[in-house]
Amino acid sequence: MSEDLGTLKQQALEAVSGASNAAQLDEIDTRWLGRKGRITQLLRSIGSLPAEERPGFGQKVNAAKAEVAEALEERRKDLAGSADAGEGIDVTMPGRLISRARPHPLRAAMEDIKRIFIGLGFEVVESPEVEQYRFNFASLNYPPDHPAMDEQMSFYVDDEHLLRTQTTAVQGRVFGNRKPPMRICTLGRCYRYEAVDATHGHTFHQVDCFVVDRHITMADLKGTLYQFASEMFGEVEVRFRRDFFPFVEPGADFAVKWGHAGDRWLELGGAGMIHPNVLRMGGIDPEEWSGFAFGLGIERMPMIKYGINDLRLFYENDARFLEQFQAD
Amino acid sequence: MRIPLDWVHEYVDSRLDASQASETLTMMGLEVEEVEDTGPSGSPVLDITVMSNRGDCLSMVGVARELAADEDLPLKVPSFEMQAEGSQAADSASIEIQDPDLCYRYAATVIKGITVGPSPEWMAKRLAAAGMRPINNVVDVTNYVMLETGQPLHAFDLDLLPEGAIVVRRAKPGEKITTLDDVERDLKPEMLAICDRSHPIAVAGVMGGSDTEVTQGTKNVLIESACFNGASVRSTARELGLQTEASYRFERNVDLGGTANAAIRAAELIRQLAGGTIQQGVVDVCPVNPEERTLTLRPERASALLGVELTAEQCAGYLNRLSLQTEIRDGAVQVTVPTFRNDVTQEVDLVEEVGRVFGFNNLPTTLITGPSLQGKDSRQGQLEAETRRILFSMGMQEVMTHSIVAQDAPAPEDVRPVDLRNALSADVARLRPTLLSGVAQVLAENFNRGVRDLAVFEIGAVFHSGENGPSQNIHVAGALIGSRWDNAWTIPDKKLSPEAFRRSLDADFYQAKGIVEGMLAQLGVENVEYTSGAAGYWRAGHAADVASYGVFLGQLGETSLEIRERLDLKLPAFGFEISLDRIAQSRQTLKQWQAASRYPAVKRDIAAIVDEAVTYRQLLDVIGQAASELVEDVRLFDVYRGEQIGAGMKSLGLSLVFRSSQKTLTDTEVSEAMSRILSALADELNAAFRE
Repeated sequence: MSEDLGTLKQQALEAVSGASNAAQLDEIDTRWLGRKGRITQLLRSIGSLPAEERPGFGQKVNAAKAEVAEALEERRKDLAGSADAGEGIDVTMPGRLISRARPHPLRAAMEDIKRIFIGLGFEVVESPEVEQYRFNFASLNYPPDHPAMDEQMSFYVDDEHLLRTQTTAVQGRVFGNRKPPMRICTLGRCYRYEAVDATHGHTFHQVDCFVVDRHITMADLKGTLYQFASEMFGEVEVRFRRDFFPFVEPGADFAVKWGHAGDRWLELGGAGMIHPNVLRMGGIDPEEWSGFAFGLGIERMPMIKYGINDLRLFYENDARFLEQFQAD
Repeated sequence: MRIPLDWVHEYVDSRLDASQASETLTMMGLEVEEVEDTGPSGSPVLDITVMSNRGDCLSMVGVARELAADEDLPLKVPSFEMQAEGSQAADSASIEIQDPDLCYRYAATVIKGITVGPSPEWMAKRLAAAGMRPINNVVDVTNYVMLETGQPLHAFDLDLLPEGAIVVRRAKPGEKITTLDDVERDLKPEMLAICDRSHPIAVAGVMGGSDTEVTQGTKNVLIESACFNGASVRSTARELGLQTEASYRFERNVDLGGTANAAIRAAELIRQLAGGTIQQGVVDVCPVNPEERTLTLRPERASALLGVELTAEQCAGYLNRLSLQTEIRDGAVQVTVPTFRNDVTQEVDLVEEVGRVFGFNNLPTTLITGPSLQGKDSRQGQLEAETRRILFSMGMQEVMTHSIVAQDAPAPEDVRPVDLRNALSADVARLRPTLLSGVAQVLAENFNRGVRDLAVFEIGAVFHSGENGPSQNIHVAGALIGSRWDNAWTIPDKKLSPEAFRRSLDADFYQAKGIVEGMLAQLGVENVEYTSGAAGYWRAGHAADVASYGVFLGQLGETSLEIRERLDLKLPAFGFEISLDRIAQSRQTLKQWQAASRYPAVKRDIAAIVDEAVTYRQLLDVIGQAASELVEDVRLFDVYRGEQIGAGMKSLGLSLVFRSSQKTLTDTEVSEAMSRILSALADELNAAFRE
């Protein structure tokens, strides 16, 4: 009997280690350990043993069953692990329907810029690209027929309408239907009658911001622009040198030095305190209110950040150019 | 303007070297573009750009004054004295100003018995360093004094001036003049001319005439120093296509108070270099009196605007450094503005002067204090951003194309395009009436560079002429070409050949429609209908008008053959153009929540065989009318055409989902609904059924 048990157990264990899949193990389980399994069957013969030998025999059979059952468990686990490894796939093949869609780099720049100014409490407004002369020039204090207009050569549509040369044109419109305090931001396309080359084009984008409130100072202007430049580029040095625009006084040119782009001053645009004439034309008393304004060219910023050397690339929309940029 | 440093140092003992001076002037507002280390006069030359409102800086003295202000040094103004011995200048010359609105002052000095010859080396070198060619000792002096003081001068050969009479008047119709460059020019009646008793001898403020120019044999000269209306000189110069050093200065500002002094300085220099006798006095006709403006600067105003505390004394000190005279009275600074500063007209201009001498970079840097305001994007901006996000999620790449297009850019039938009056060229002449051409062109250009599978979109303004003038709308347009899957390497279904499988992924009308349907649904546009139509850009029969509640939103379809040919598109392209403005007006963003039914659904399939001309829309309408309360959804799962059903027919496999929100439907109810539906389809659309 014991011999039979030992032999049977050995045979069962050999069968287990020889099994190569889960189905075979199930079959072994049934054949040896099931209700009619060969080891289980040994218990049937327990009756033919002397009474005092019965408990001992029963224990041995159960122990053998347990050992085989454990071996089966182990073998199942082994096979499960290696089954996965065996039926693997090549994970280096390309995935399906990969979308590389993303914003145009100028749009991404504009959204970044918007985010920064919204975070400083500015409200974004829209204004038309085909603008009236009075908003583009007259309410911005441009003397008619003055050299200040030389840098603002415009495309005209009719006597009254032109393609806006600067987003600053929004000021007159806003003053027409809003009273201070206000923090306004606008972004959009502008146009100048200018020949096209690597750094100039007839079509470009600008962001214009202005604030009117009590006690607004030039120090606040500097702070706001410094904050903007830091968010946009990172660690920067800023510079304000005197410049002239008819709609601000004092007027300044705003430039940054950003280590990444080398040791030069990069001019981003014009800024200053809103000229009292402009405020008065807008129905705002300059004795009670003061404000600052600035206008920055947008194309310049991704050109500086990414080292793009030709403005025209933005409008060519070559897919290989567009897919180089990510949102920040 | 080219500034030789050694020349400037005659008027100020500046301690700055070329690079420091360059930095200082740039910060003060005279941007230095370039520094030449050694110019023709042996000293460094700075090339500066002067802002258009500072005519006073278009001179060596003006630049010296800026350096003097920064370094707090005295300005050494040239001497305006002449050694005159002859008879009265008024005996030799007379001046009549007939149009004082264009000529505010005209002064003249007269020198007789000169010898015209070359200028001495020191003057020739300085002129060359400043970018002017030396000619002779008389003309050179006029240029020298112009560069020195900013006052343009002109020398006439007095003997060629009948009776020495100068008349300053507008030109008469038909008058001509041959200018110094030997070009004969027609003068228009708005142009101001310097004339003798009969005809023009110079274009005022722009260029002299060759008839009276100073030549080798000239013995007696009249030096003109005048102040002309800047806008008039500007438009005259533009009309004639002549921009000179003189006209450039008049356009910006010439000092009305310094007219006579410049004539005196020139006379004295000529006497020193060319000999001769200066006639006594200056003939000076001055219809407009040079007046020094008086302004008041409140130090608290300067402090408030600049953001730094300044006392009256400090403000006065800074202004003095700029040659503005000050007196402190009752805590405010009374300022006498010299005539050469026509740009300082109100208190705020004084604040700027104080600020820039203080140094803008030296002002503190602060953030605005006070209650914070709500920052937010505009409604239009938010809609655009959301639309962009939706299209990115559908795999579409954003592009930006030009708004100004070719003069023959096609416009939709009912649109009057906006043309530019002053087009840059035939290609840059019209404002785009649609976006579609632009995005289709992007596909074509990328295709030619080897990118054959592409989906792009643009959101931007399009323009048309309306009753109230030019106006704009915001549109979104998309275009697709090639395959959605640019490297299909698995064939999921063995029944399809590899080619058929790839073709099934190619762009087609329904892919474009899927994008539009998804976009409109996500933006909350409801009750959208697609009706066959649309011409122009689209291939006939393969395009649709899109409307919501009957309001036209835009179009979608396959681009027409004409567009494909024009753009050389080698594959069919599909696209859409929808008005975002209309979407903004018609979208529903506030909704009432509706509970989903808790009761089980019953699905029934039908295969309806109908004539080719019957639309899917019609089937939906009939089904909806026959059993709308019970049919929750209808899905198209198959379209079959073939011998079995005959030519000109199609079989549409539809899956109908029946569900009630009130109860579980019984088999009988579903079957009854089905027969109503089948009868209606048979009656109204002549449908037969398969299976």
